Amino acid sequence: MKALAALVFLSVFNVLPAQADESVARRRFERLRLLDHRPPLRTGGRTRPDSVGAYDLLLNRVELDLPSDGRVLPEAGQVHVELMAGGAGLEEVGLLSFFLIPFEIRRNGVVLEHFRNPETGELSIRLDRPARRGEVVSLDIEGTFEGYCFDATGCIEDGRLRHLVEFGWYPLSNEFPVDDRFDLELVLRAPADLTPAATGARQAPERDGRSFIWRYRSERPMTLGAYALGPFVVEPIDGTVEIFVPPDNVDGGRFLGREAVQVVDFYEGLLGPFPFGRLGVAPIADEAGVGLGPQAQVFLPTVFWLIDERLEEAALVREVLSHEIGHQYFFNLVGIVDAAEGWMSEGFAEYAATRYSELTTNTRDHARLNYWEYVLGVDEAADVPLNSEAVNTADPATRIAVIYDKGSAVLWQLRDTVPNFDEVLRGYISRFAGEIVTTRDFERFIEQATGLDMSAYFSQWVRGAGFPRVQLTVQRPRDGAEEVVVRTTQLPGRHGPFRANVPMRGHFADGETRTETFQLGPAEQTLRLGAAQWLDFDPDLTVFRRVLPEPAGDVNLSGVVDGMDLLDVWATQGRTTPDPRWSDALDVTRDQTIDDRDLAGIMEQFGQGW
Amino acid sequence: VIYRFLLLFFLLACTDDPAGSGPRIQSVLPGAVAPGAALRIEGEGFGDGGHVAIGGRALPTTAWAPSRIDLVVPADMRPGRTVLVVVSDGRPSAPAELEVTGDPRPLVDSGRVLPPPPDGGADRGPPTDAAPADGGVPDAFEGGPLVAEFLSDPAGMGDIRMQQVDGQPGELVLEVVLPRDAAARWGLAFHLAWDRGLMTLLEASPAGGAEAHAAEIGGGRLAAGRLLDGRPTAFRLRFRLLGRGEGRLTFPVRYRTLRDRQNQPVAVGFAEGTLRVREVQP
Repeated sequence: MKALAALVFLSVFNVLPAQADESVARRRFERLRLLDHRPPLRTGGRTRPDSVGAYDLLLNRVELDLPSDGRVLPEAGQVHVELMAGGAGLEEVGLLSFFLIPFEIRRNGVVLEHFRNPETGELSIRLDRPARRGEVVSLDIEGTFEGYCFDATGCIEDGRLRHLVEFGWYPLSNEFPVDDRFDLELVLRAPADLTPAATGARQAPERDGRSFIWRYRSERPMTLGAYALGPFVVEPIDGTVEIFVPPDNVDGGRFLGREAVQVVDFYEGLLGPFPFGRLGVAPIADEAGVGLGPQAQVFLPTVFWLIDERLEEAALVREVLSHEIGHQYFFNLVGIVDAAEGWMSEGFAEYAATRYSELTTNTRDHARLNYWEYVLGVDEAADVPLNSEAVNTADPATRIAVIYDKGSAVLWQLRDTVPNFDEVLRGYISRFAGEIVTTRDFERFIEQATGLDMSAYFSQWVRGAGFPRVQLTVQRPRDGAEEVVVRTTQLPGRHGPFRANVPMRGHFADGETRTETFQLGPAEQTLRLGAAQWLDFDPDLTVFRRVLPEPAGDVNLSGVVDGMDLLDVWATQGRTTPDPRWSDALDVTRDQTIDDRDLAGIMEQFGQGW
Repeated sequence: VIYRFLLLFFLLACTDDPAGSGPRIQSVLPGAVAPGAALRIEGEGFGDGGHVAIGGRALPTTAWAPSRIDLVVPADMRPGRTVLVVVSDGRPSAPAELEVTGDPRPLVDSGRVLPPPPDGGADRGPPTDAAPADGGVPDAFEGGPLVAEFLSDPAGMGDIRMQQVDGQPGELVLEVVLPRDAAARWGLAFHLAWDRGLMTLLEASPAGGAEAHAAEIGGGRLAAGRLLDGRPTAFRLRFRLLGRGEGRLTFPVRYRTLRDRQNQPVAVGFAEGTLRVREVQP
């Protein structure tokens, strides 16, 4: 279970620059394909054997003599582990050691008996003498590395650019459930032409003959280390941000550097002080197909170093970069360990990215796109609750749409409904900095900060799956009364029924608008917006839903299929999902494309409702 | 008489009266009838009595049953294609096509233009499907064919307005005309409402297609939408006159809009008008 926690900080994004003639559909496909999470770790979901003693892992110091032959790891290395005994004392230490096969383990110079199960990676170490509760045990482990590269996302084993993000230890103890993280030191002896970019704070490298010794140490407890290797030049951008630049691309990375500084500045205002003393931005091979956001270090595909702000792809660079920097707050500062809480890392980091997009574009397009990616992209039968373990076993497209897209959309809805939500979120980060959280912690914190009862919202949209498909029939009395009758019917589905307060915006002939809120539920609703020319159901996407006018051609919810509906559909010809401007009311044929078939549908239904 | 009729129109326009409960014509035999010949109408909901109007002219009947009516077409009935309406218990049927055979006679128009009503064409809400109490045939009369006069309300320079153009006898042809500024916009949509007892839409041009669509969506109600692209005329509308009388042609406020290229509403005026349909003495 806890080993799975290591997964959730990995964020992944499309890295392919859009082609000039690339269709939206193709872009979506590519994004989905490359957004996919890494496969679960092989020990995911395992529970700790009872024979393993209780302890709290305090420190891992990994010493590696990095090879000059283009590989990411040497044949062998040394690991120094410090842990504090818990329970009634500690006689045997259990660790998960996926990739390090120890050949000698010592405690204060005494060689210890150990056994590693090659099938599971479980390593059992019998101590030479029991450790009392609270006593710190130091272990020095020497071993060889095997099988550490099983996919390009987590590891590129060799080549010009290579990286490794999943070496390390996975504590098996449940004794300290909120303190599973540990300090990590990386001592990397590298040839002079090789620069490691790694997690944590960096000390000035020391020359050692024809090599340099690089030392990185975590600023806050963490679970996984990561580093990338390449012939980089390190360019400080400001006191926090530094860019690792490939030497054959010395002009590259300037856009990234400026953006990273802006993102950090923006997040300091939005989320609170940046949690780490430095932030490295380093390239990894494009084959990885992802961005990654471990502590104090962001890894991005090297193609990002070729993009400047004048290119269309700059928007994608901003989205991915701001998402990964968002992980410095969500996962690295406020941590999670439970697989069911993945959205509190990915969804929150994505929310931060959408807020940055709002700043740079002055629109909500990024957030709206995420909303529609979930609502239109997830099959009802496959949908799973956001806060659930089931989300990790869903198909990749559903998993991403739920954790990233719905997760960020939930926070947008809270932003729109919870008073002073920005302040509440900053308070939440401050309160749980350095700790492990759950969804319940977040929910309770909002309630305590605002006095609101959030249980209904969280039960329905966070701990529950699905959303209503609302069939809307609009009728007006023909006596000219200022009244319009809106009949709402939730179509039967796998989930629900749902209840929500939904805004309905009336648009009047003089250009004015007026919004009234009605309670979506099984009962018929009557709204006094009768003088409005047309209606807009939840225009700001405050509720997860699909809108299905009846008749379908009454796309503007005026009560009659007429020329205004034609204008609306004409104006949106060619629009297809995903599109931040999408409105599913306009999709007469409900095929997620607005085209001449929708126009034909309106003409066929012309006059219906009258 | 004029003011009384206008008042009646307003009252009826504000009355909800669901369609479907009036008389319904299933057949008219023969479909082409000579003046002076007998005519049989079959259908349902005719009730115990009422009247039949051909080309807006109320006629005596020789037999009346709930599903059948017999009458004789007057010898002076003007030849040509026209419509027949059954009115029972104040409810008109949908018009049925009828051809009166013989040589057509010229239409003479000598009517005078009527002033607009004092309400300035404000939206009175969607008109009812019900016709005036006498079935859209204001007064029973014996007389010749119908002619229409349309008088536009005073229109500003930037108003979308209607103008009458030459049409066939027994018909009214109107063009919805755009001022230069409006024509340069992107799209136009509107409803046009009239007293269903006066006329019915025969055709709209353009009638439908990729960039324009117009259709009568109920008795006395037309809906239309069009991409403009600089065209000075949005639609040409041809109506068949059904009965004499007077009423307003309106663009109900809730259902009219001019849009810019971002499909956003643009402020524009819509000039409405008054329609008078009267009989021309042969």
